Amino acid sequence: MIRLTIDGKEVVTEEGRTILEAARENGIYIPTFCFHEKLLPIGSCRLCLVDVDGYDKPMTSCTTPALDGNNVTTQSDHLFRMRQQFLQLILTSHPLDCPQCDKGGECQLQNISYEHKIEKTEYEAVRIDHKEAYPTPLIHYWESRCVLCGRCFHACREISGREAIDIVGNGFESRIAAVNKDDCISCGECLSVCPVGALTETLSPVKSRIWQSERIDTTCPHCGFGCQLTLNVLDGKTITKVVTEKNLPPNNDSLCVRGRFGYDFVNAEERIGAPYRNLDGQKKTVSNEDALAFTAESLKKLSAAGKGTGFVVSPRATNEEIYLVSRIAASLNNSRVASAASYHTGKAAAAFAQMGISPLYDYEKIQTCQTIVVAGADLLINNHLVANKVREAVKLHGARIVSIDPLDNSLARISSAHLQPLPGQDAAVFNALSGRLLKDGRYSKDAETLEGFAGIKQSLEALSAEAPVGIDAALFDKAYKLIADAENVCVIFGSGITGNEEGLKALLNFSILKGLPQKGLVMPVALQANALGAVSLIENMAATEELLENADIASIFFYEDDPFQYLNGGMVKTSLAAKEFVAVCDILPTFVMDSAGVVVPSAAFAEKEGSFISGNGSLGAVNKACKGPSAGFDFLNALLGRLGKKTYASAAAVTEEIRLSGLLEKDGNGAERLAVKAGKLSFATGGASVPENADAFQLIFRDIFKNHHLADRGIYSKGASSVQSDALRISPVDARELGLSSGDVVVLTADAGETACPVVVKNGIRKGVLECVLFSKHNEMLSISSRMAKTIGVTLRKA
Amino acid sequence: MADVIFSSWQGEVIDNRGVAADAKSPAKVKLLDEFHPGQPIKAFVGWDGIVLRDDDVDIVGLCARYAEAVQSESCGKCFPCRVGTKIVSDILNRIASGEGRTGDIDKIKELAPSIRDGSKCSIGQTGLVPILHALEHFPKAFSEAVVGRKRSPEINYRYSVTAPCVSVCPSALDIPRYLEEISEQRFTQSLATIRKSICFPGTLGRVCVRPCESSCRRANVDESLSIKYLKRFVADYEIDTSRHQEIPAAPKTGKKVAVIGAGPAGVSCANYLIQMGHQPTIFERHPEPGGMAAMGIPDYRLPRNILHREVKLVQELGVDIRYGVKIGEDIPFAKLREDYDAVFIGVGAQGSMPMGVEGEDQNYRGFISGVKYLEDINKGIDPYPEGKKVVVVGGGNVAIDCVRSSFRVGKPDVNLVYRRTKAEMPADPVEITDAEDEEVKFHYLCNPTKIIAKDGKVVGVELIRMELGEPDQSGRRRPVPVKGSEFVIDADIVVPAIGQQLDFSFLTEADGVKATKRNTVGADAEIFETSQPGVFSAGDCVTGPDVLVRATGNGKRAAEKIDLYLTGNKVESSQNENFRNLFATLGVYNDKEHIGMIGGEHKAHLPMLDALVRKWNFDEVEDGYTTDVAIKEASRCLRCYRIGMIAL
Repeated sequence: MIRLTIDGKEVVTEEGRTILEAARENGIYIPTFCFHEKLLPIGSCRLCLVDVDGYDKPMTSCTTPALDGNNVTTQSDHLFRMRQQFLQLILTSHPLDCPQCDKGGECQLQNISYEHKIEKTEYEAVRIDHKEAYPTPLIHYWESRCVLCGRCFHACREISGREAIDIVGNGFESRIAAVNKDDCISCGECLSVCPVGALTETLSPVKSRIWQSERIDTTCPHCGFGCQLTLNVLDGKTITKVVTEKNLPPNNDSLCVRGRFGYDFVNAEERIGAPYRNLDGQKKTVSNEDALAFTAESLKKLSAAGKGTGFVVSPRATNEEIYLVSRIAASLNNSRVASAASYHTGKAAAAFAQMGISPLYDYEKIQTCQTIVVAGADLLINNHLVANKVREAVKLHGARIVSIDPLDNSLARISSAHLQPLPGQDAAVFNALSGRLLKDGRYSKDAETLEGFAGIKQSLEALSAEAPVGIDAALFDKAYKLIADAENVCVIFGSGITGNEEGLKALLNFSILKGLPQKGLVMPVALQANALGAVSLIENMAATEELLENADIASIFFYEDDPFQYLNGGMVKTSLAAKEFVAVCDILPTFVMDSAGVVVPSAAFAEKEGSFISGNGSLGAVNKACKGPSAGFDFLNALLGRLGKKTYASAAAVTEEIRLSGLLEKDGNGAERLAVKAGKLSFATGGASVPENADAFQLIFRDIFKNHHLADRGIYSKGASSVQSDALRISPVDARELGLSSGDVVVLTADAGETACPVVVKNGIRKGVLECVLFSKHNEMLSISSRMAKTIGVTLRKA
Repeated sequence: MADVIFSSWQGEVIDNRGVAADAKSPAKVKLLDEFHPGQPIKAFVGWDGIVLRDDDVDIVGLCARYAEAVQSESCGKCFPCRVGTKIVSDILNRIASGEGRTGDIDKIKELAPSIRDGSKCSIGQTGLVPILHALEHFPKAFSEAVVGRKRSPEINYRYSVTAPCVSVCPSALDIPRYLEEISEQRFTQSLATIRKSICFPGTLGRVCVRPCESSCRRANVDESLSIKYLKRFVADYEIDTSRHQEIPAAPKTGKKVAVIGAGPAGVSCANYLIQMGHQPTIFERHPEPGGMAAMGIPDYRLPRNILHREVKLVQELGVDIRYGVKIGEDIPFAKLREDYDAVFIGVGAQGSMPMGVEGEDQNYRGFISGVKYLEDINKGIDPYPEGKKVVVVGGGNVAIDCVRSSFRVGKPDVNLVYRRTKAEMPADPVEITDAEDEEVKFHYLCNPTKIIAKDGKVVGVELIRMELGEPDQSGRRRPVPVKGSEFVIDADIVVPAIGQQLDFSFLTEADGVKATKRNTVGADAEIFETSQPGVFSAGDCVTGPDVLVRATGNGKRAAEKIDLYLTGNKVESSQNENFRNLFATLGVYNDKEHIGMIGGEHKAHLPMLDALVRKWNFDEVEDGYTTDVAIKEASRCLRCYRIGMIAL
């Protein structure tokens, strides 16, 4: 610790801090403008100038290290005058169009000019507005308002790891421009850090100023990272933008494109307003009471007849809704509850439980790891914020990354080794890594005492510890060295791993051998907002197709779920036709509604009260921002009553009951999270065999489990759809061999059929592998395969 | 300088206005008389003041042009400089156009000091310094221009940007830019910036003698930047992340150039020739590229794969390298001149310099020249397996490389004999310390007098003690033998490493390429052309044994001259080169400058292998920076860009 004096007050701070940090820690105010906590100091505005004894000139406190014995003056007439002058310079190139600027009322330039008593602009200079397009259509760049503070392009690089925008030109002609448009992922970090109204969102047709709006904090409904965000709501009904400014964990004001711009489905015109029944191929609007009575009677009748009832509940429904569904199921005979959470989170959780690994983890632990392994997960599409945390570890702590993925992924460009096994061969990679750790004696010695060590040792010794076939040996050696040399390792894996049991076991065995999770972190990405909640609340969870294919299940109730999004649509349709009763509760038209006898409206996340359990186990509040009934919850609650069970006064009452069941606990900071008893670590047996890949191509689906509220039967989020779309991508090598170039139409054939779509040639994809990103064409693309799988074998020809 | 009318350079105010010619005070500041033959320098305006040498120069106009230059060089990344210099420039332009307004001068006086004191880097911090000097010393000129609405005459001016580090870099690398790009995490861009000036970033990032770091202003605050290691960082980063940015191909000119020697000068020359659309072919007598960088620098300092990869990237641009071809033996030099549109000689200086002592010409076993010794070791051969006790003679980097390499081929007893003391040793001080850590025995103030042999094998060397006398031409004190102080030390390997010379065997008299008195290739220092038109030369074969960074820099400059030659232009120095000469005369780095910062941020050092472990193997001694350390280190750069302007 070091001691210094700021404005006559003696303060203590850690070595390595800047003067600004030391002052802030001690409650001393220094005006800043370009400085942003999430970015390395920029030093463009010069407003945080302070006088420090020993320096001839005033120094920017954001970049000057605090040294033991410094004597700092933050306020003086001279400094005030300099700050005023620099503000005058900022204002020289800034139009005073505050009345019509989106940022009015929450503009840092307004505030700081006011604070420095700027009464008029002193200087003038003419500036040209180039009116160039910004790299994303979701953001408008007002060049004349831009003061070139530099936050936006620093955020683009530092937070998102992209290089889409930059400062171009010299002197007064400098401006922000799209230097690499294709690199933009529309994450909106630039928008979020802009201190003035130079960047504004273009999505909402209605705008509202801060004083006209209500701001409601909630948890993001898309992936399971658990981002905290704030909805800006006008008149209690229209979301006009999403803001993040409270620096709350886990995302600390960062968001991805969906979190920031994927809110507009809430206000979509296609929202289902009233219940209806499908009678003789016609939709017939019915009253709530009719829908409720019909559903209750149908379920009761089938239950009484001893027939099975299935429930498919969305892993994006709240804990409270999932709990009600499971209560309803419990009241019926022969019922099962399924969820799409079973495909990834369910499998990971089961493997964790079996091997005694706690499913709780702390995202911040990534910062303590020297080597970060990312396997079978594209953090660009899902859990983008995890990628941000990894980048932070690289930027601030010099961490190195090993990517294990046949496809390009968002971290590949900064990975020290990108190993590209064929899909399904991840087990070979992890076994070889484990084998070499054993051979070199560089595994965690604690592992020796664990159950299954002898077995795993024996089986690994029988395998090769060299790079598996098809993996570059030098790259494998490099990856191994990075892992072996690291004290702490973080392993992040996605559905590319959980899709293959052998691969998952091999990965977890490797993790335990390396001493994880004690010395580091092993974490699955969380695909859906409440996947862990669904997995924790639903006992004996089934996979959706188990219910569909089970002839004993005579009725199915879909709660905010559309199986056409992740299963073969033809199969779903046929299965549902054989059911005696199908009900759907959702907010927007979905494919499964065609097969439903009754459809009832639900509420969007912004209209609900409740909670999600994020991937790290923490409980995030879902708060009601828009007026209107919580249709889905109310329907479930009433249905429970009709079935003769206890109903609840509110969602909060359900939460309380969940709490009482012992599912939740308080962490050290008083925040609620999933309660988990630590198990006894052990190795998994197996994890050695590697499946053969006979097909010409292995096609990997990306984003099967995206939030179907963005797009299903129609496009419901203009925000997300304006920058994301379906795509089929092929490696340049394969493209050359097949004589394909980007835009060519190809025909894909798998065991259940074929489909034609255009192809894009992309670097970074392994030969023999195709990447199929799904956005709105799930139904079309999944129709070619009979089974639910992340990866399928296909043949491909030019159309 | 005697012909100064006015100077405010570096705080020394000389005012000879209206003073009789013989009474004029001289100024300390040094400028060139002419910028280019026939172009006398009438005035100089720069970061430290104004120098006027001609009454004609209009000070108001000169200041207006300078402010304009500052504004156009402002990077836009801080408000005072980006907007402030624009306002000052607009006002000065107004005054110089005869449209000045009352209060204009006061506005500048009010704003300029804040811009000077508050800007982020030296462009803003120094850009208005000469203008403030002008306002102070020439108030009448400005007020008359405003009041009299006087229009300034046109000025014939040129300006250029430099920095202390850039001004001394023989490759003229844009150092502040690539450091800033690292601090802003633009690692790929940073490497691209480096590659504009050198094609050996990974190599120079390891072995450069870094004149830049000796001229780093940050040293006036705490410690110089680690410019070399940051270069290595971005070069390594590219390899680490397997990302290589391709250089777009230039339209072909159809001109062919023969390059003799795949050393730093030759490869550098070929690299930039092909980027200008010409087709170079390199002829190399060895089976591998790199010249002295490959033969003379051991793997523990420069892993071979680094150098080879950098040459490979140049080959990937389309440069053809023919290995194992000896010009003069396999292909006559005259044939190259017939078959190619131009020839570049970059053969280096790899012949050994004799010590002039008894027994060195007897071909004793165990007597091996330094270059040969390293060449063998670098090929993986123990130069003399029987030998165990090694005595290396010399004090340069080659001598140090010889002793440190000796351990690595298993020689247990390694000695270095140098005729002066450690203080005078020309080798890199860091290398000397590393050798000391590895326990090389240093014998200072001795010199060999005789090689002692038995049965044709070296058994020892007779040395004589030396003492230091008067300084010689190099400024170092001349070593003088102490009579009768001869003594013998046992040795079975003696390695003379006192210098190298050129091997001219590839040329014949008839080729007509003239040599210098120092037995090097005679080539013009500015345009690199030899006595034969179309034959250019650079690198050690012109300068004598010199540093890598000069060979690469001159190789590139020679490529630019060859381009002028091939495109039918006059082969002459460029404006940038003229400015470099001017800046060298003026001195950009001032080691006395008081910067007025406490600093307290020390240079980041590289993690090193333990001396007593590393000395026995060829593993690279130093590990590179991690990302976080590189960003932090690069952020220490003060970005000392500065602008110099001349009036002609």
